[in-house]
Amino acid sequence: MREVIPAPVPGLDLRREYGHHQSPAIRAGEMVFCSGMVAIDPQSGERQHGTVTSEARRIFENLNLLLEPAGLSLGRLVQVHAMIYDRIEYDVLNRLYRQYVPNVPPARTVMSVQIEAGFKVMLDVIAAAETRQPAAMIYPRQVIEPGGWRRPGLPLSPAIRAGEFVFLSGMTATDLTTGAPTPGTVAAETRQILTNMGELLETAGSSLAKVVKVNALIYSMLEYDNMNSVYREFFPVDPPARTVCGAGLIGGHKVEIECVALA
Amino acid sequence: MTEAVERNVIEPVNPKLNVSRNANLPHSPGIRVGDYIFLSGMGPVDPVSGGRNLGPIAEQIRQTLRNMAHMLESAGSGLDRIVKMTVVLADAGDDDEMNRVWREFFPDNPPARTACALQLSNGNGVEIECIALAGKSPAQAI
Repeated sequence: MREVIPAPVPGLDLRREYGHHQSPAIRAGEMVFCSGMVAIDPQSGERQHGTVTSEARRIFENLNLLLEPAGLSLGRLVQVHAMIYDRIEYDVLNRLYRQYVPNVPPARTVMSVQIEAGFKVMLDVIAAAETRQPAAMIYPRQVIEPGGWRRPGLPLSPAIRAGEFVFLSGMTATDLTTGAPTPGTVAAETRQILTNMGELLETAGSSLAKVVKVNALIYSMLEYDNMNSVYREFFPVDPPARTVCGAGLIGGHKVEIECVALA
Repeated sequence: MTEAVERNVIEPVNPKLNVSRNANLPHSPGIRVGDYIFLSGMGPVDPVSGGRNLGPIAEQIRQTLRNMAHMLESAGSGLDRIVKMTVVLADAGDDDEMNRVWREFFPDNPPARTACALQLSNGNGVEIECIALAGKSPAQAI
């Protein structure tokens, strides 16, 4: 089951104010996937740029607001991608961060990336749901390899199905009949990737409509809108939770997109 | 009918590899939730000294993957149960070396993977995190 967790206060719905094509959070199986969160006034939706400390505090407070109506708290966080604009602020982030997860903190990776709109911090979070349908068995791990695809001989699987979820590798713009990259504009690469992603998900018995979380990397956040305008065509209703950041991509690509979907 | 979802911390058996505890960082080495294990980003830490292994990038990657294997095995899982990995390289040009080492560790049915290049701390050339299934594979469990 894939269930959108709505924004409990208007400011936390970034679709409303900023046209971000994403749900605030999606609950699926035993997990809750949150979109990347930045320092936003929860009532007005205004951006609250500040220091790493003030932005991170605002984000944690907003996370509390978002998770509480879903019966969750910060104590249920499982994994955090803590994104900061510069790694030099690592200790500054930690000082504030530990106040909010004092006991049994979540697994975490700190990443230095380019964040939307000049923010200094973004938190990308997965939390454990309170309850789930009981599982019957130890889950097998199944490689998803579409028959007709030609792809470069890289040591990765396009996707792995594990229990109730399908985890996809980061995808770049590729012509699947030749396996060759198809470099283009951010819009064109986004379209190619999401077209291929739909096909891959269907091979796995899933679909774009069952995607719960998307992570999109783009070479520059200045191209955010060019990605977003194409992206929205592929997820017309109840879009997945999503995190977008600017990062150094391998192989000269402009866009790379990965996702988790329900199987 | 529903059941509660448990959330438990995962710690490495070898205390030298418990970087977050040793450096008093606000994250757990890993968290198990239900049937899944999420590991924090790991770097090339020497399992004997606890110091950094800042040798050639291929050796750093091998060290990190060996540490990841230890972490997963400490929790009753293993490298063959990884479903998704995220790799951060300090230098985008190290992707060939990464793939070379990956073939040593994951000759068949490799995990899904996303790699990118970002600034890293402490001179690390690589940092890797993963999501794995808990438990041994069903074939081994029998």
